[in-house]
Amino acid sequence: MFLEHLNVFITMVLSTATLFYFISTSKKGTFPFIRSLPGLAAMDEAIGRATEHGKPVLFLSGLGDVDNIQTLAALSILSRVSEKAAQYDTPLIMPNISSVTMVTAQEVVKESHLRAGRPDTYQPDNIYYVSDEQFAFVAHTNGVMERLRPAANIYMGAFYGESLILAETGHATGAIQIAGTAETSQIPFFVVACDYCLIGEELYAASAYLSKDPKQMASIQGQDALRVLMFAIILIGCIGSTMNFEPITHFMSWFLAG
Amino acid sequence: MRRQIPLIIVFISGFTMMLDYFFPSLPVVHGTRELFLNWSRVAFSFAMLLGVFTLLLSNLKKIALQQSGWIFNAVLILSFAVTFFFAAQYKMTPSGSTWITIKGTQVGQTGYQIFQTVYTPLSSSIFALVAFFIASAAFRAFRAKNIEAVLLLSAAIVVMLGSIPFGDLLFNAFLSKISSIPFGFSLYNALHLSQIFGEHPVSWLSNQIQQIPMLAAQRAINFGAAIGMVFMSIKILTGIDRSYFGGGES
Amino acid sequence: MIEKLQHFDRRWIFLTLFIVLCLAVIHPFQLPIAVEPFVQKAYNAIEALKPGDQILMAFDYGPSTAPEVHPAALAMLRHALSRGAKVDMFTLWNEGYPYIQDAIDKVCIPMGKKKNVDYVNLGFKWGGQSGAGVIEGMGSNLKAVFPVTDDGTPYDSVPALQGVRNFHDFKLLLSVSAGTPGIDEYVRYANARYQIPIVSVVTRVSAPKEFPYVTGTQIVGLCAGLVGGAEYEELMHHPGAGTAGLFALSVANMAVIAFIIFGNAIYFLGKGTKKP
Repeated sequence: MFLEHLNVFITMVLSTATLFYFISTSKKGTFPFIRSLPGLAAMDEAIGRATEHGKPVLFLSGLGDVDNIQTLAALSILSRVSEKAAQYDTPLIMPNISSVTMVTAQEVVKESHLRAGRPDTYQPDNIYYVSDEQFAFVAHTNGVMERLRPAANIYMGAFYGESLILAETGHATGAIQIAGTAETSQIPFFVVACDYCLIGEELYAASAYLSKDPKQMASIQGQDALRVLMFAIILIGCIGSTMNFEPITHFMSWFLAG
Repeated sequence: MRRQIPLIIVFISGFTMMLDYFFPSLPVVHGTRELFLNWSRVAFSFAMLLGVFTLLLSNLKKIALQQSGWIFNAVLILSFAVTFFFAAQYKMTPSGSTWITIKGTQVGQTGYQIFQTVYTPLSSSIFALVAFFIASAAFRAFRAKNIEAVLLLSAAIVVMLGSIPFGDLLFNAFLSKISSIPFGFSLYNALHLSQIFGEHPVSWLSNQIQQIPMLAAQRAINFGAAIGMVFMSIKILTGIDRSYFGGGES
Repeated sequence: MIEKLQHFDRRWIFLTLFIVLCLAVIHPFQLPIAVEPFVQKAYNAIEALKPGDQILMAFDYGPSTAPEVHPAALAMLRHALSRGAKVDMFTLWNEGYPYIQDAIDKVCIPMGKKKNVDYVNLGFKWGGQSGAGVIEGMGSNLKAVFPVTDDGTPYDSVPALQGVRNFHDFKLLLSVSAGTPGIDEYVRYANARYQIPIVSVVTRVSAPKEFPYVTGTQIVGLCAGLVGGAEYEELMHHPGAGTAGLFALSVANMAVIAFIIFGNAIYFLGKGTKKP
């Protein structure tokens, strides 16, 4: 049975080895270069804008639960955003679709306030649970946008059919909007309606980018290295299949099998 | 210790799931996996209870403090109570086993009627807003400001027309108009384009756009997101990324 | 005039679209339907079923997306039952539960199929947002996940489930999904691990996301949205809600195209009249 999944095991070992290799090089002091992501560079501007207007920041971690990897990435970003908001003394409103995410988010924001040296400004009531139902959550969030008029809306995580409803309502209220999702069907809606958008793996890289932690940045380097390796394998496979070179086609069939 | 325990739990459970994928025939591994899956199903069920209690507490607090708009909080509590009362009717199964069947949500019961007459139209209405927002977003954002925008616009219109029967109807009507011009010359037929595009040229073109360039881009984005997901998972399993529980730096 | 149009209130767009859709719904026309290759593949996969084959059918959608995917779900269920397959229906969405009952009322009962013999309603099972625990559980031991059917009948007392233990005993997984948990989770946890073939119905907006799986081997056929439902009904020669809604959908698409053209016309006219 193990041999049936040997290809998956090799990929897993490669990924882990790549990650730890780049983390070990980061310990030697070489700070990796990561190109700037406009959406992330605009976070500070968005929070600053909210502070100037005296309005809150609205943060949504998507419609996923904590077992969704995009929600975990969003919570990592929340950690940085809430720290910045705490420094500027700007309220952060975060409705949640899941009670477990709410509890996790409350812990994250509380720790951020502690790190920013502002434990007194932490408001647990600002991070609350709304409903597990998608459109009940969306209706509530739209109401919050219309009533409180946040100056900055940050949508990070897994979004589905409600993405355009949220983004259009936010646009109508005049907020600066930054979105990030790996849901490919919703990326076009966010690109059209938001000011900045993180696409696909940029969401996962975002928490590392914002943290400026060498280990986290090294993990992005590892991702890119693995991507280059996979690209090389795909290229070799394409050439081998085109030339009908059997050893390569057999290897590719085995390597790519589920 | 407060930070170590969650990390240990994450590592052990994640590692067990991984081991079971490679060695499913090992009884210890498989049994442990089944146990963790059962626990996760129970935990998720209790998480719903947590959500309900949190919701009730926060709304009751707003009612007690008579905060602005507390009437709506009262409506929420009342709706919850009525729906729960009718939906939570239960019965024991006929064989007298320990299984309980919730009958309040079955067809014909009041709980089911509340779902059908209140929740279903409300949910459908909110989702129906997407159609209107798509129209307003398309009006506002799809402007041919540069070459890329023109390409995007053209592809969007072809795909939209190809998704509906009108696209082929309009194109075929246009072709029949061309063939009736004085010289009787149809460029479309002269180039044998009908043999390439078939009877449904716009649908064919729409499918080609979706299955060649769009599929390539889709695969690239999926691939990148998958690699990102793999690395995020490894970081969480090994405790490098702890921000999801407020753990801060690794 | 151009400046007024450049600051066009979007509520006029909403009103125009509403009026156009009302007219389309009140006065529909029959349109010719061209079948897409992926829908044909889905049809062929169900056509290949033999009497007695077991299939699982997941109703993972709610009221908001039911108008899009429910017509295709009914058409596929009708097709599968007409091939003599036994259909085991379940849902991972609490909102999906009434649609199982609706499918039984509209398809199974009129076709004279017997409950727990020809079809089984396993009901709703909560597995969190990803459904991973439930899907993995079904893959190894279906009885552990659904110890009783929706009406309380113990698993071992259901004739249709005799000898059925896990995914390996099913010929096909028919996933009608509109979000998460849905088709992505079935591909990830059911097909990747247990190699169960999947036929899927998804919303139109999600369909491009699934194309890589259809051109691969994970999904053997795909119906996208209301149009996919209409195409499947065309193949079945049994028009239903999909065919009925196709005209209104087409009119809405044309209206959006008209708005885009109008918006660009305003943009270019505005550029032309810009004062130096």
